[in-house]
Amino acid sequence: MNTIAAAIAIGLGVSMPALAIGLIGSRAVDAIARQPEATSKIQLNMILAAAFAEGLGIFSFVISILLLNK
Amino acid sequence: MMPGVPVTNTMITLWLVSAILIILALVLRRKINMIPSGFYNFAEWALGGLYGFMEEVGGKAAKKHFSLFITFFLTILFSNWLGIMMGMVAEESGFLRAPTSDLNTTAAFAITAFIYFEYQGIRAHGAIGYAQHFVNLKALFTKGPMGVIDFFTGLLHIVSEIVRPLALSLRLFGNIFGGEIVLTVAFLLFSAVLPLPFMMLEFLIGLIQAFVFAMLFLVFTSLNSAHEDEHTEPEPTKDELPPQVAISVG
Repeated sequence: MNTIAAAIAIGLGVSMPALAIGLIGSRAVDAIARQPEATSKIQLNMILAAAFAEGLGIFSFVISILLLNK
Repeated sequence: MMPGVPVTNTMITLWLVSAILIILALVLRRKINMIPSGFYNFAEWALGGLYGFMEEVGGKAAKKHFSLFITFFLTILFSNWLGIMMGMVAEESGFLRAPTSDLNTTAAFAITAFIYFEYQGIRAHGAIGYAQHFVNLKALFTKGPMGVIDFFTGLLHIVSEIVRPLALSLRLFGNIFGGEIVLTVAFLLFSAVLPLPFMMLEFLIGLIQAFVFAMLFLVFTSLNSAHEDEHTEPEPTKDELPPQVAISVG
């Protein structure tokens, strides 16, 4: 039962941050295409925003590991 | 963990990282020259690039946080890369493994960062002024109905402040630990060529995560120590982007 719970937690918990990171990346590429001279600033902010989105995925990863070790 | 001895394998790797960094610093110090060459040139270029990044995020005022920023970056970077280079597995039985794949290490880093940026907040606003960020009694009594909203946003700030060290430590730990699990599984499946692309990916992730940790530390510090009432920096011009992303919980 714990294995299934861990699988659901990691599966659902990673899909949403994946969507978020995809959106962040696509918008950043849009912005860079429109304004190539601002590339470094856009990249910096993109990495920071992606880090926030990815942190949520990491939470579900930690929870699934906790479930497996129970 | 080694049996019977309270010295963990991550601690040994962390000592190794410290030794490498100290030796690097001593070697580079002897080569300081107006005309850089060789490895010193590379080090100067790397530090200069990082300094430029830092100034883009934090402005000129972030200069005094550079030492802690670069310490976090280099320590985490060398820990991550040493972990991959030594062929570590995500188990406690190995002799050496990446310090950052242990939650204790990342929690220590995050708590250090937390104490530092809280201290900077108190130093910039004063203890009472900083507490007013969170429990905004003044707005409640002077501003009327709009003050109630201010009061509750202040309470929300408490949550976002507490989540910061938690998210910092878990993000670093989860990335490196997860990477090690992926590498271990790849080695178990087929150990000839299959792990190579994953190792490339792990090198990249090690760099990005070190950068993200140091950058977030800097962003939180400059957010806490920013004076809202005195704007010394010039307003951003039309074709210039604002220097920071909006920071939310998480």
